[in-house]
Amino acid sequence: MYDKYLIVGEAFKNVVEGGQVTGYQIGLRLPYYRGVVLSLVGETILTVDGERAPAEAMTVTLRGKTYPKTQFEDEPVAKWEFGDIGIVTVAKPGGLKPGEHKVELRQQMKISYVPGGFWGGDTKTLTLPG
Amino acid sequence: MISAQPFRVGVTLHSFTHEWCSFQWSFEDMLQKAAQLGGGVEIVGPSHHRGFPEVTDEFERAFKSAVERYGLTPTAYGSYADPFMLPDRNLTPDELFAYTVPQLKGAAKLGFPVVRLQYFAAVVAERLIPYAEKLNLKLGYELHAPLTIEAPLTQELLEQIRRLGSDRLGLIPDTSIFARSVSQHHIERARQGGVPEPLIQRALDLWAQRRHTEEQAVALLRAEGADKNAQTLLGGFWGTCGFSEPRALAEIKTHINHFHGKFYNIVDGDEPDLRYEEVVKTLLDIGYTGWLSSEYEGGPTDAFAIVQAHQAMIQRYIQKHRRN
Repeated sequence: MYDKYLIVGEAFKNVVEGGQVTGYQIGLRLPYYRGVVLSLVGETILTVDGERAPAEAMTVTLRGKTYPKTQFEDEPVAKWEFGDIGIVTVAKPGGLKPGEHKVELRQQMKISYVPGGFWGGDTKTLTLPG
Repeated sequence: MISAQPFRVGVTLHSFTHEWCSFQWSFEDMLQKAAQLGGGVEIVGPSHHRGFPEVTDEFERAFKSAVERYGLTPTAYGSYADPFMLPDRNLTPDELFAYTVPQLKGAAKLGFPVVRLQYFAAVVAERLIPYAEKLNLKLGYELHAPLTIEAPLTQELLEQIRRLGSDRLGLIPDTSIFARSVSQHHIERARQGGVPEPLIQRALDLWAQRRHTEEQAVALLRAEGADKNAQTLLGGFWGTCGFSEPRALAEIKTHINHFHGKFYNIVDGDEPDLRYEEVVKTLLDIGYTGWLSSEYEGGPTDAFAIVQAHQAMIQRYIQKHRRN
C-alpha cells in the first residue's frame, strides 16, 4: 500500500557544489505505517539505471539534519517520521546525465517488536532536469 | 442474562491504515469518520502523532480541538515497547521503563483512559502501576493471536495481574484469538506471495487441528518444503487467527480494560472467520460495559463502509442477545 509513494520524483536533481557536480539527490519515504528511530531503518538498496548507490556515499537529510547512511545503526534517538520525505544525497562526481533515469529502491525495515524485518520497494522512471 | 447497559462500539484509526498511509485521508479526516462510527476513538501512538514516545503540546491542541468539535470520546492509546530498536542488544528494563512512561503521560495528556501495552512491557508493569494511578489510566496487555487466553504466556501475564492485584493493570482481548477458520485475506496473501497450493492446503489442515503453536506448525511446514517466504506467510495463519473459546472470556472478565474488534472481512453482514456472535453474547453475559474498537485489518477497500458493516453486525448481535 505504501510502495508507490517511496520514491519522490520532485526532489530528483544533481548536486552542484563550488561549480562542480558532486552527486545527485532524491527524495525517499519509508515503507512503514509509523515513524521509527534511524536504527530501525535497515539497508537501502538504491539503483539508478542499474548502478547501485553505495551506502558509504549516501547521506539522508531529515528536518534539516544530515545523517550518513552508514551511521543509522547507531542512531536510536533521531526519527524518520511517518510520511516524511528524506532527502538522500549520493556522492558521485559528475552526477547523473540530464534526462530519463530508471530509479529502483528496495528498503529494508527492522521491526522493533518482531525479530527480523521486511522489505518494501518502488521503481520509477524519473527525469533529471538539465 | 440481560446487561443493563451493553458495551459501546467505536473505532481504532488503525482501521484506516490504507487511507492514511497512502495520503488519501488526513488525521483530521480520520477523526471526522470516527465521529460517524460510534464516536469512540482509539489511536496508535507512533503512527498517528509525531515525536513518539512524547506527545507534543501542538498535537495535544489539535487532537483535543477535534475531540471537542466532533464530540469524540478518546478510548485507548496504543503504546509500543519497541524492545528490539537497538542493533546490538534488546532494551534493558530500565530503558523500557524510561521509554514507556512518556507514552503514559502522553496518553493521559490527550484524555485517553486506557493504554494498550505490548506484552514486552510485562517486565516493567509493576513500576508502571503507580504512574497509571497518578495519571488515572488503565493499562492492558493486548491478547492478539497467537496470544490466546489459554497460551502459556497469557497465563503468565494473568498470574502477574492477579499477583499485583491492581485494576490499573489488565487485558485487552482482540477478536483475532476467537477464530473458527483462517481468514480468506491471509490465504489470499499466501497465494499472491507465491506459496504453492499444496502447502497452503497443508497449512490449513494443520490449522484446523487447532493444537499447534505457530512455531510447531512452521517447523512441520519447513520439513515439507516451505521456504522462508512460505514460512512467513503460512505462519501468519497462526499469528492472525487463534483458537480461544469465546466462553473463556468469563475467566478473565474482571481484567478486561478494553476490547479490540479485529476483523479481516465482512461477507453478507458477517465476519466469516471470527466467532463474533459468541464473543458478543459472552461480553453481554459477563457484563462488559467498556469500549470495543472496530479494528479492520484486511486488504484495501472502502474502510468507512466496512467498519460500518462491522458495527452493524455487532449491534445486530447485541440486539439479538440482549432480548434472550
